[in-house]
Amino acid sequence: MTVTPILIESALRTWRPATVLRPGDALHSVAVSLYRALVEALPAALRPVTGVVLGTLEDASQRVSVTLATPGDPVIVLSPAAVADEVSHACTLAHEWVHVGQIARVGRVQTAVDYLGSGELRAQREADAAAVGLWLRYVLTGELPETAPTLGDLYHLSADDTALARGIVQSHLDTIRAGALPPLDVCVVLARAIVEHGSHEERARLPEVLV
Amino acid sequence: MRPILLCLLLCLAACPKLPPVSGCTPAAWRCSPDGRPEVCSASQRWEPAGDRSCASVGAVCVVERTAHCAPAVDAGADASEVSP
Repeated sequence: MTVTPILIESALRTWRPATVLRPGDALHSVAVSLYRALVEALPAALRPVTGVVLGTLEDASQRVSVTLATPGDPVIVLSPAAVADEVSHACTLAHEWVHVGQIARVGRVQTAVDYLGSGELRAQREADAAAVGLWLRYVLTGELPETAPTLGDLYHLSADDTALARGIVQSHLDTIRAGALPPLDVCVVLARAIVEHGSHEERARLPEVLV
Repeated sequence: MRPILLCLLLCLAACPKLPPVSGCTPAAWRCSPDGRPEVCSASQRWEPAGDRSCASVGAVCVVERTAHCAPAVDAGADASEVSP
């Protein structure tokens, strides 16, 4: 694996600035403890929805990474599971940077409103992010699932929204299998970095149009 | 009047921005007019797969089982056409 998490982060940070906190960083435990404070700071009317999502994040912080829209650059808080190995580390960074791009595209407040206020939009945005992680894992390892995985309970999706997310991921898997690049900004940024720095095997898994 | 307007503005600002209801059949697929793969949600809205068009990654949108991107037949694009 020549495309390292450091290279991935460098390429994506150049595209859209963000701060990455890893387990062991001084601010990491502070950020995790903020999940509960965020819930308590929200208007009471929003808590039934947001409290479930954010409260779950606090409980699942050992295995769940998040991107927080802050007044400054977005903050990516990586979980211990995300940095357990180099491939997972790289793929999680790519996944979270999709959310950084979404924040840049629709704005901090609207991103939060969309994510917390609509299961349909949450499904759409998590599906795109999940697909980027699957694509990068494919480029780095050659592994590609035949069918779209079901997004975990973490996102609190209804059956209809879960089906929507699976459909979107399946579309991206079909794109990869057809030999094209998933139509996502993060894939474009990373494909360029892989063309420049990747191994022969990694470059061979990019669409011919790029290499 | 002003408080009502303010409330309306706040409400509008705080509403999720979903695509318009189109009346499509849930789970149906299509390529949007600008060449983006889309799937119909349970609320009958076209939701995109991805954040850019297939053409912007040197591909074309096709509907075969799902709507997705596939390499352009003439393969005429080069990497310079794939830009953020």
